[in-house]
Formats: sequence, C-alpha cells, structure tokens
Amino acid sequence: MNSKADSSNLVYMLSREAGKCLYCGFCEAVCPTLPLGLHRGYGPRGRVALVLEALRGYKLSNEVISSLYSCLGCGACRVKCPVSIDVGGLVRGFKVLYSIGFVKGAPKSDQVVVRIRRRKYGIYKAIS
Amino acid sequence: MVSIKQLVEIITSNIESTGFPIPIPSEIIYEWAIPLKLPRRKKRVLYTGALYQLVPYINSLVKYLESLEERDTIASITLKTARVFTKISLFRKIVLRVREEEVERIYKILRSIAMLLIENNIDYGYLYEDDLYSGVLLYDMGLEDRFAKHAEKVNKVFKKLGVEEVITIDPHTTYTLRQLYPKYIDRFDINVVNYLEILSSIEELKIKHYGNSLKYVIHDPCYYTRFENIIEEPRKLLLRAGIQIVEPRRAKELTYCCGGPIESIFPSLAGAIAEARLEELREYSTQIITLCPICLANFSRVSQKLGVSIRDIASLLGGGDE
Ligand code: SF4
Ligand code: SF4
Repeated sequence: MNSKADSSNLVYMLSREAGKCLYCGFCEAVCPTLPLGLHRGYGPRGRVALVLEALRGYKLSNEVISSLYSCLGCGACRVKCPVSIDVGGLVRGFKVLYSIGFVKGAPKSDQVVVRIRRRKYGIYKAIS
Repeated sequence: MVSIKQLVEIITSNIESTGFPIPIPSEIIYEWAIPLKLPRRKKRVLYTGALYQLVPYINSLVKYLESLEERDTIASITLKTARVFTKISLFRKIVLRVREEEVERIYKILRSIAMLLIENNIDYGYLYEDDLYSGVLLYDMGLEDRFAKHAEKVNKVFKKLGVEEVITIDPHTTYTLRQLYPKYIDRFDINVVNYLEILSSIEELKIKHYGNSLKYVIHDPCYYTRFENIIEEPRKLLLRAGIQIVEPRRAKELTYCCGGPIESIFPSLAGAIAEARLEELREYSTQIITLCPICLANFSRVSQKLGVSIRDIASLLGGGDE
C-alpha cells in the first residue's frame, strides 16, 4: 500500500464510492455517533462529504479528522442507504491514506479532539 | 500534544512488540484451558484470537483513561495517554488493577464454549501459546501493510501446526479470518467456522434446559448480523436451551453498535454510546445477552450505573453461573 499506484487506485475507488452519495440523509437516523457528536462529521452523510473533501486535496482540521476516526465501522448506515454506500469502509480507506501521508491534515491538526454532546444536561465536554 | 497518528502508532506498536493491542501477561491467553486438558495437535483447533481474554484489561485501561479525563485538561490527558501506553510501570498499573474475578468470569465463558463443543462430540484441539491475536485493530486503523504482515504471521503458525480448520468464538475474529485473511494472504486455505454455527447445526444437541424460566433481551453484535449473517444461530440455541428471548426494536441486521470499537481512542464517546444502547434495551428487560467480547467489555463499564446485568451467551448455554 505504500506505492503511489496503489494509493491512486484507492483514491479512485473511494472517490467513486463516495461520489454515489445522494445526500438524502436516510443513513443518519441509525448512526450511533451522530446524536453524540457536535457536527455532522460524526454521522455517515457528513463523513462521506468530508472524505470527498480530503480526496480532493482539502486539508482537514484536527476536529474533522477526529470525527472521522470516531466512526465505529458498524455498518448500520449501509443497511439504510439506497445506493448501499459502505461509509465504514470509506472512512477506513481514508485512514489508510491518512496513515501513509497521502491525504494530509491542516497545520496544527495533530491533536485528538472529540467533542461530544452530553445528552441529558445539554453541555459539551471535550475528551481525548 | 499527542496526535491521532501517534496514538495509533502507540497501540499498533504494542501489537508488533507483544502481539496484543494492550500489554497483557501472556499466560492469560491459555490459562483457562489448562484444567480442561485440551489436546494440542489436531487438524481442527479452537482459535479464540484472544479477544475474550483482553476484556478485563481493556476495561482497566479505559477506566484509567477516564479517570485522567475527569481530572485533567485535554492537553495533559493526551500526553498522559501516550505515557500510559508506553511506560512499563503504567502497563503494570493497568494489569494490577484487573480484578481476579473479572479474569475468572472470562475463563468461565471460554470453558463453557470448550465444554459445549466437547459434550457434543466435536473433535478439536487447542493452540495454547499459539492462540495469537488476529490483528483486526491494525486493519480497522487502516494500517494495511502491518495488518498483512500480522495475518501472515498467524497463518504461518497455523501451517506449522498442520491446522486445516479453526473454530472461532467471536464476531471480529470470525470476520477477520473469513473475509479479510483470504484478501491479504496468498492462498489462505484454512476453513473458518464459528462455534454458534457448529452447535446450532447439531440435531441432537446436548445442552442444559432452563424450562423457559429465564427471559433475556438479546443484543446482536454488528459483525455477526451485518457482516457474517450469523443471526438465527444464537436464537435457535437459546430457544433449545429453554430461554425466552425478547427482541428489541433494533435487532438483527438493524442492530445498534455498543460503541466498543472506539473505546481505546475515544473512551467517553464509547461509554456514551453504550449508555444509549443499554437505556434502549432496558425498556425490554434488565437482563441482557451479549454475543461478543467487545460488547461485553463496553457494556460492563456502564451496566451497574444503568441497573442492568450483562450475560454472555456462552456462559448461559454452558449452564454455569457467573
Ligand atoms: S459505520 Fe460509521 S458512519 Fe456508519 S452508522 Fe456506523 S458509526 Fe455511523
Ligand atoms: S443514505 Fe447513502 S446516499 Fe443517502 S446520504 Fe447516506 S450515504 Fe449518502
């Protein structure tokens, strides 16, 4: 997976998969991380959009990268998706590219920041 | 400040140096099997992949990380996290905090599985110190080369021991061996079968019967139902054992993840997901059945707070108490 050809092939495959997204949002109701996250990067539709941004060369912030890494890969979203997008697999593909430096984070993006919503009290807590 | 990359690196370098994502005493992998005197060399072997055995240590690590979260700011937590993973003294702290009864609970589950197979005349051996971790976390983290290398190592051990078929006992290891190893290993030809599949296919199953006196709500693990199509097998077994099953709103392929897969990087988020799921299950019954060691680990952290009790399917089918 270190070779450039392999990475380009992965970029192509991920772009094709993410490009199928209709942004209908049917997947969002079943995602366990979305109700606890602070933004849509904690849900499948947002994750598809963010992975596409990364593949297009945009540099992602630490918060966005953390929200992608918080995907459980549980596959609940895929069951609901009208075009069967495997968001967990897409996010894993992003991790492959991120771990070999093929897609990059923005400067100072290298801290772990996950912000979750405390449902009962409506307050937010930052965790590592 | 530690980065995601560093955190991932710390966990994965543990796998490379010790074979396991968290440093654990190596004998806990096979100690449970010693009293059973399981034979060693067989074409068919029980392969635990060590996930059940890791449960008490994962819980101890996560508890420690959470206690840091309570006290500190983000910056110092992340720094300390790095130290937790790297410093031997702190490893010991995690290992020493594990309570004997938690380890014994896991051993009982493993022994139940082994005994259910024996009592139903399934001929198999055990790998003991060669019962290696499958490397699934390396795959989840997107570390392709390292996962491929780890898988190769496990396969070499199987080959060296003349293994032709493995019996897996959890969803993640089953998925890893059945779906991933063939993609990452040249000519992976080991047959992979899950113990629930074996037991549920036996016509004259010898199993304890509870006389319909127990009622449990079932929590399906994502990897059995959505990735391995193991849905009816556990239900069939529970019914055969005379246990009443309550199906929650989100069951089978629509099940809701326990949060466990992210517990070593985002413990609070994983805990909050476990709470959300248990609150839902509690509406059906406070007695909950799990089928996966990761679900068992993540739920156990918050079960007391929510007033529910978690029981692994194997210990129930095996007829033992916990
Ligand atoms: S795979 Fe990821 S995005 Fe999809 S439902 Fe699970 S946590 Fe959400
Ligand atoms: S359900 Fe599928 S197509 Fe619709 S937003 Fe989610 S990923 Fe995109």
